[in-house]
Amino acid sequence: MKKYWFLLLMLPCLSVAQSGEFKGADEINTILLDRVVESSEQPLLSMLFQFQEPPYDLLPLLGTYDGSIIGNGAIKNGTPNAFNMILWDVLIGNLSLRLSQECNSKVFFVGKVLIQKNILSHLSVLCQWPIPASKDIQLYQSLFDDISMFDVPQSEFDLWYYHYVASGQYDKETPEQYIRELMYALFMNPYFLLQR
Amino acid sequence: MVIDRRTFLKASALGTSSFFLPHWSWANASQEPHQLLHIHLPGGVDFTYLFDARPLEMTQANLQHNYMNEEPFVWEGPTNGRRTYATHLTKPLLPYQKDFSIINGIFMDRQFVGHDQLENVMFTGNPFGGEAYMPLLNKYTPQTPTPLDGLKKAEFMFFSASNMGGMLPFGSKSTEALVDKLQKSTTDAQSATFQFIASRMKDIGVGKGQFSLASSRMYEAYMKSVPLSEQLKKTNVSIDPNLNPDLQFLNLFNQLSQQNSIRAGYLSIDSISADGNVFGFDAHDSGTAQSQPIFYKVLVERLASIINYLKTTPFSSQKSLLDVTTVVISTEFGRTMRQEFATIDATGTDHNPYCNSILVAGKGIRGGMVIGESDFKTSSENLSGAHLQIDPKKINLVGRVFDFEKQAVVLDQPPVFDAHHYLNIGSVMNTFFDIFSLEKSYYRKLGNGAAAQVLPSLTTLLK
Repeated sequence: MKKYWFLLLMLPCLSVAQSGEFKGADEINTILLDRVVESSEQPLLSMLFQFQEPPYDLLPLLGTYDGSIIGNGAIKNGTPNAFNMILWDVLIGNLSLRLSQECNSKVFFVGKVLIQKNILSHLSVLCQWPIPASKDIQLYQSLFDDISMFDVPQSEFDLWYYHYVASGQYDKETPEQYIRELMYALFMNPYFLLQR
Repeated sequence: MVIDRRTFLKASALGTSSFFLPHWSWANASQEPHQLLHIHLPGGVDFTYLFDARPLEMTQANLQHNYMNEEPFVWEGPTNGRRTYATHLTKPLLPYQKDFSIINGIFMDRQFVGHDQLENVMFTGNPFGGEAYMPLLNKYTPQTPTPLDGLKKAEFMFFSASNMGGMLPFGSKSTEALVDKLQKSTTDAQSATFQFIASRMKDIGVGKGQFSLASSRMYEAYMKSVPLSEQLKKTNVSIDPNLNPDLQFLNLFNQLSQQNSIRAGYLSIDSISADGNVFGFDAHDSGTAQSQPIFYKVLVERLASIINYLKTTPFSSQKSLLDVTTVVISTEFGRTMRQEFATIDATGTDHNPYCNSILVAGKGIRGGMVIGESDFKTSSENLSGAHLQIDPKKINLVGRVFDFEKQAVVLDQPPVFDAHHYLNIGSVMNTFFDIFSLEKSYYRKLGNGAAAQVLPSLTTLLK
């Protein structure tokens, strides 16, 4: 028991980690650059808003890291509310739009955001939706694993796959529209946006 | 895990459809409209230029700077007959004398004197920051919550709040761009994707722990984002160049209030005066201090224009915007009478946390009052032991002892300083909380741990 005394020092950190809020703008930016986006010509989240000028006033409302004494490393403004959900909706909607652009370069998206190779390879198959290869469960599992956190329950994948593939309700969608909805649902999942 | 189609559809239908019926009702809330508007003057305002002035003999006795070099006049509260000295700079506010009340002699804090710390004390109740009170008024009061916590114009904000994410930024290009984007798009809450995402948020939100709590909040927020988006589409957030910056803010504040979209507004008046001069309340150096009269002249004109707008702008056919809005005009601290080693005609002023002033008006407030008072009214005044204990150099005004049972200043001369004897900023804030019936657990307290006591309110101020 004695040798585990240092675990007591971690108690405050544990309480911070479970704050019931969004991961925040910085962390989502890092995750996207780590798993989805290769590079962007401007700061990624700013670009994803697709406004003419960077949305400096709005980004902090997605949640920002608070390094002050009282903040104790928690996220500031990270509690979900109707307004920041609109902001996430715009941001994730445009990210999904950008991914769908891989099927059709005429899809309207301003600025250069390069997508990682492994994601591109998944998209190249999805762009042939609804051919049988674009419904392969291994394809979706691989895409899901590339983007989601390691601790997301398998049931989230099952529900996502069932809804978008097995249910058949998207079979008549164009590949671009299908990818937009599929990816939007993946990124808007609480396991992706919220702190655990 | 294998899920059959029937189970899946049942789960998603139950998960989302049940939300709409009871929760859309906030958009048509029948409750009496009521907002708070907090106008903050960051930097530390010297109320000796406004409603806590001093006679010139204090300057002649080398105690109180006075770069106006004019005798103040007596401002009598028409409602309670209490008096204070005011400078002629306040005269543009005389037509509104019955509309607002003056609270003088407010004690801020004894241990902290910084801008950020005392703004934090005012807005969050903690010198290091925390939850600002404005969003709390939208969550922990009997009023039906509005979709946005508020509207904020904060070019310069010292305080550190963790919960301002539901406050729409005013006057930014990005807010305009966002509304423009919303106007060009539609969110179909009946679409299969929307319903699927909502069901995931709701189902994950059923569990225990902070993550599930956040997911259930996310679900609720996601559902409310649809009608909010529809309301924002109808809102004109573009700047009207014919209005001055303060009135541009109030124009949008009124629009959003009429839509029942916000509970609060935060407007900081800082940095730039109407004619483009730098606005320097924080007058530590004598040069800035000597230029104060012109800045306060502009400030009072702006405040008069704001009160006039609130009074004359219709909120509904029967009520003005002021009728439905509780207005607070504050600064984080007062200022010293002089600096210790400077001559009285070339002194700057420093931070004084022992004596602040706040103006209040609007819904729930009795106008025409003067409440509280500062000491050191004349050069010959015998200062209390408490004053000399905290201000041995005699450079500060300090509030007079306030008796909450009588709701009035009493002429006690306590030998030692005890914050319980004074009109505390916490009491002032609790008074606003009373007006909104905020949950008692959020009321400001004095003292530490179990000994902490909820500070009494200024009941005399309440209508």
